[in-house]
Amino acid sequence: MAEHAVGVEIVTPEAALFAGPANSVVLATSEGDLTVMAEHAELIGDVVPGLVKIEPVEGDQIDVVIHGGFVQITTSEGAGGELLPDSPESARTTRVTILAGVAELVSELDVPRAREAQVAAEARVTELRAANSRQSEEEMGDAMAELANAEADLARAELRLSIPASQV
Amino acid sequence: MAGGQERVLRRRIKSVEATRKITKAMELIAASQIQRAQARIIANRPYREGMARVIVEAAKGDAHAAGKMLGTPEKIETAVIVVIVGDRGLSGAYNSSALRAAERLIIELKKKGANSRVIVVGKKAGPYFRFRGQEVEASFQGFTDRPSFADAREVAASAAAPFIAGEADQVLLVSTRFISAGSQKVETRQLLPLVDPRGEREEEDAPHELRGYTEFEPDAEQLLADLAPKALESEMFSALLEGAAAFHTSQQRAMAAATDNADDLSLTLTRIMNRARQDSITTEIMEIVGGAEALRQKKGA
Repeated sequence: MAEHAVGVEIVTPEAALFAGPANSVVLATSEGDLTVMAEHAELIGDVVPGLVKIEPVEGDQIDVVIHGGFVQITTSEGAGGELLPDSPESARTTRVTILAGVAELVSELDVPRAREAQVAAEARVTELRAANSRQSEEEMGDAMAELANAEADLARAELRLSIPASQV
Repeated sequence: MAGGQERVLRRRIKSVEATRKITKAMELIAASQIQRAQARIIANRPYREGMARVIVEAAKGDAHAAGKMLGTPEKIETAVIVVIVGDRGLSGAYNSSALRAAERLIIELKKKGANSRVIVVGKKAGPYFRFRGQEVEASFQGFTDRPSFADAREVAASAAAPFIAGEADQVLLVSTRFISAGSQKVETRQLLPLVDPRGEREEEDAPHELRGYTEFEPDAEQLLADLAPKALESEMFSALLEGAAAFHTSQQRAMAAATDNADDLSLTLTRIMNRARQDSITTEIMEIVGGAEALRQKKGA
């Protein structure tokens, strides 16, 4: 099994979202969809906003929403290091690195919950604005920040919905 | 009077102790922030390195396009200078050394006949340039302690705009690099056009590197054009992260020195106070003894 696995990593500026062995990765570049398996040709390309589907060696398929980025596929002799811990020393290893400014695991996105939080934050801001007292200025700041966060969360969650169903 | 002096000293010691408590607390907070900032730099590393690899490969893929888009422009008429400092002071030379480096850079460019457009990150930069009559085009603040990628994007967009519009030939960044916990250095780097990653070693390494038979989707030229803004964002983000780590380190060091100083000061003041108290007791005893002696002599006479 391990000889047919590719080492996959999805990295964002703030953290690595996924790193490990997978049977295949499906992603979309500006020139079309691409399924990467072991021994894929070396390639550098862009990744258009949408879903990246990883089929890990162990466990269920992992979907990641990518807000645009780049992909690099490399092949090298020798063991795959931390991405492919089981690979034999003699194997050729294929590595897929996806670089994305913003990316999210679909399993962590929750539109209804995000919307709820946004509505609550908005209500709090309206309430404080109506009260308009001097002491609540600090509270107001907190509430505004919370609203901004909630809105960002909602936008991220909704982007997932905006992806055509055919891709999901 | 002696008792008065003692009271004054006691009050000063109290105030030094109070200040010491504050500096000690700030030192501890800064120390914990360093850990976090360092962790974020490490988390950012794979992205940054991946980006660099992709640019190197793309540049190799289309040397002609790379020559056009990468490298240092020969003639600079207008440069955008981005300066990263902190939002707060009490951090030793962190803010001032970056600001001074930026100021030197502006003067240097002026000598070569180039205009500078200044963009600042951090609350402490605006007043510095305003005082010196240097116009500041855009100012960002409020996130230097814990920058997010979205912040970096915003700064990058504002820095790239004049370059993309053709109004500036170069975008430079002045920021503090976090080399290690013990070493931070102010550095000036070129952000746009992208620094040619192939560098000078190109010739010697070329045969070895040609092994790569890499496909490009889309072609390398288009890819490089797409990569430039992303690489800028990535550079900006890592500069902000390093700046935050350097700020906290600098602050921790400054506050540790302040705490030590407060310790010394309170020790010295305590000694002076004790001597003053001893003096006043001695004087009092002398007065009593002298008084008693005088009385006895009077009786005896």
